[in-house]
Amino acid sequence: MSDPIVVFDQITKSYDGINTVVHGLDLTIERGEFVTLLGPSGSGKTTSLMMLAGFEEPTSGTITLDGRLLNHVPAHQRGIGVVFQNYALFPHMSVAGNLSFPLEMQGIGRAERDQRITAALDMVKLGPLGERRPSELSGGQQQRVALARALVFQPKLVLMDEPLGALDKQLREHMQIEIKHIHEQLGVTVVYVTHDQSEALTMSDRVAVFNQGRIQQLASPATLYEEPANAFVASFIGENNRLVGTVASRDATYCRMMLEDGTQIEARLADDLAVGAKAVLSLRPERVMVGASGPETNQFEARIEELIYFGDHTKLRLSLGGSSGFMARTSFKDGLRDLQRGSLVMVSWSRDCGRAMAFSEQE
Amino acid sequence: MTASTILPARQRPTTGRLILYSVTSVLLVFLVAPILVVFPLSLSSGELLVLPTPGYSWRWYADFFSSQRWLLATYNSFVVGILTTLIATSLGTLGAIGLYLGRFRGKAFVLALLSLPMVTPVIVTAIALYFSLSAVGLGSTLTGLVLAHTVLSVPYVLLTVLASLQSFDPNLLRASASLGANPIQSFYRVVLPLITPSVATGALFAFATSFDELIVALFIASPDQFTLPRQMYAGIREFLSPTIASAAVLVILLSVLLLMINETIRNRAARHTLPPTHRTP
Repeated sequence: MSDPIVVFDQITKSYDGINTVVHGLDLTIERGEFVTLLGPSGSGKTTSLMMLAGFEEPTSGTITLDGRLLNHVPAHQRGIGVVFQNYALFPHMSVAGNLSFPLEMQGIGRAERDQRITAALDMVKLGPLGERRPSELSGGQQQRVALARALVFQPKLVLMDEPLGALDKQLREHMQIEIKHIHEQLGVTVVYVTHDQSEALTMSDRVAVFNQGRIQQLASPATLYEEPANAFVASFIGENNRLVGTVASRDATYCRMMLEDGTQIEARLADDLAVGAKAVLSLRPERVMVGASGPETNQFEARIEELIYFGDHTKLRLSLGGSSGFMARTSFKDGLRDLQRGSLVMVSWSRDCGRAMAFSEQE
Repeated sequence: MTASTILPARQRPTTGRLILYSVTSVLLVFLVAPILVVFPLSLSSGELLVLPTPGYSWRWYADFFSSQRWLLATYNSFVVGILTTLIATSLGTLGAIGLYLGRFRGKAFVLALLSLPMVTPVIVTAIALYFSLSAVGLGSTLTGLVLAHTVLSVPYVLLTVLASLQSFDPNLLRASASLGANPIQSFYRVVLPLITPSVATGALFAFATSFDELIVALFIASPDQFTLPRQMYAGIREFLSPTIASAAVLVILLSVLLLMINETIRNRAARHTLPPTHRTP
C-alpha cells in the first residue's frame, strides 16, 4: 500500500560550500502520513523542511512531490501549506482576509471563498473572530488562524515549523491533540518539525530523528522509544540510563555485560556485538523496579543519592555499577513511602528492557 | 492604560522646573521667531521690507496672485515637485526593497553610494549636475530640473523606507509565497500595504526637498523654469518688495500642511500595527 507523496533523494545542503547542514538525505513520506522531523537545533531538520517548502534550494539531490521534480519549482507554484513558528499572519488584514488570500490567489469566486473561510474558521473553533485583526488575538488564537490559513486552500501537503513553540505548556499540549484530530479529519499529509520529543511522540505516525545533518532513525514513536537504533536516539528520546562496559559473553539474543566496577548485567543485544567489545547499556528509568520482588536476572542493591518528588511519581538517583547518576522511577504503588536519602534499596529489571549497543566515541 | 498612569503626577513648580520652562521657552522663541517675522512683513501696507510696518493690508498677497512671474514660479515649483516626488518615491522604494531583500556583496557600498547626495555639499552636486545635464542637452529645461531634484530626493525616500523595512518580518514573504502569491502579487498585497506610511513620509520628504531647493535651480533654471525659491532669490536681488514675504508665508503654510498630513498618516499606521498581545484564552 505504498503511496509516496514526497521523496527526498540524496539531498545535500550547504549554505557556504564548506559546512554541510544536510548530508545525503533519503526520506520517503507516504500520502496521509504525519511525519515529524525531530532533532536538536542545527541538526538539519528545519533546513530540510525549508527545501521542501521551496525557500531554500538543495545543493545536490532531488525532491519530488507526487512524482513531480520540485528542485526548480518556485515556492508559490508548489501548493504546499506552511505554518510558521511565529505564525507570519498578515498584520494589515483581518483574520478572514488572511484566509481569503490563498483563495484569491487561486482565483476562487467570492461565494465559495466565504463558504470555505467560514468552514476553516469553524474547524479551528474561531468562528466569530473573522473580522478581528491578528494583533487583537491571543497567541493561541493566532496559531489557529495560521493553521486555518495553511489548510483553507486544501493543499495535499502541509508543513509545520515548530508551530507550538511560542505557546505555554498547557496550551501546547491542547493544540497537539487538536492538530492531530484535524490531520485525521482531513487526511492531509503533514510534515512537522520540532525539537520537543514528547510532542513528536504524541502526534506522529513516524518520526525521523535528525542529528548532525543525518537521519539517525526513522520509525514509529513506539519503536523509537522501545528500540532506539543507536545511543543518540536512545538519549534524545525520553530519559535513559547509560552504563558503559564490555561484552563478557553472548548468545543469539542476549549478552552479559561487565561494567568497570565488576557488576554484571544481562541485556538484549541491539547491535551485533562481539565478546570483548565496548558497549553501552541503555535502560529506561521507568523499567527499573524498586523494591524486593522483581525479576531475578538483574537484581542489585543500590544506595539512594537523591529523591525528586513529582507528585504522580518520584525519581530516585541511585549509585549503581560505579555510577551515581542511575535513575529509577517509582510510583509508590509498592508502599515504599519510607525511602530515604542514603538508605539502600533493591532494584531490578528484566533483561529484555536493557539494550546493549555499540559504544561510539563521539558522545 | 491612560496617559495619567504613565506620566508622573503634576508637581508644584520648583526652582528647577522654572529654570527648565524659561530655558525651553527662550529656545523655542529663538528657533521660531525668525520664521514668524515674515508674517507681519507680508501684511505690510508699505513699499519696503522693514519692521515695524507702517500699517497692514493684503496688497502684497494680491500682488503675488496677479504677477505673471510669481504664478509661473508657483506652477513650476508644483510641476517639478510632483514629478520629482513620483520618480524619487518609486526609485527610492524599489531601491530600499532591493537592499533589504537582496543577497549580494557590497550592499553597504551601494547604500553609501545612493545616500551620497545627502552628504555631498549641494553646491558640488549642483555644479556636477549643471555640467552633466548641459552635456546631454537638458540644461535650462524642466526635465533637467526634475532629474536633478530626483537625485537629491532619492536618498530621503530610500532611507525612510529602509528604516521601516527593518521591522518587516521576512517570513511574511515566505508565507505569501506558500499561499500561492508570485513575487509581484506579494509586493502589492503584502509588502506595499505594510510600508505605505513610510513610503508616504518619503514622498513628502521628496516633495519638500524639491520645493525648497534653490542652489540647483540657480544653476539649471533659466527664467522660464524659475521655481518659487529661485524667484524669491531673484526678487531679493532685483526689487526688494514685500511680495517675497507673502510668498514665504505661503510656502511656510504649505510646509505646515505637509507636516500635518505626515503626522496623520503615522498615527493611522500606528493604530493598525499594535504589538500582538499574548493573552491565553
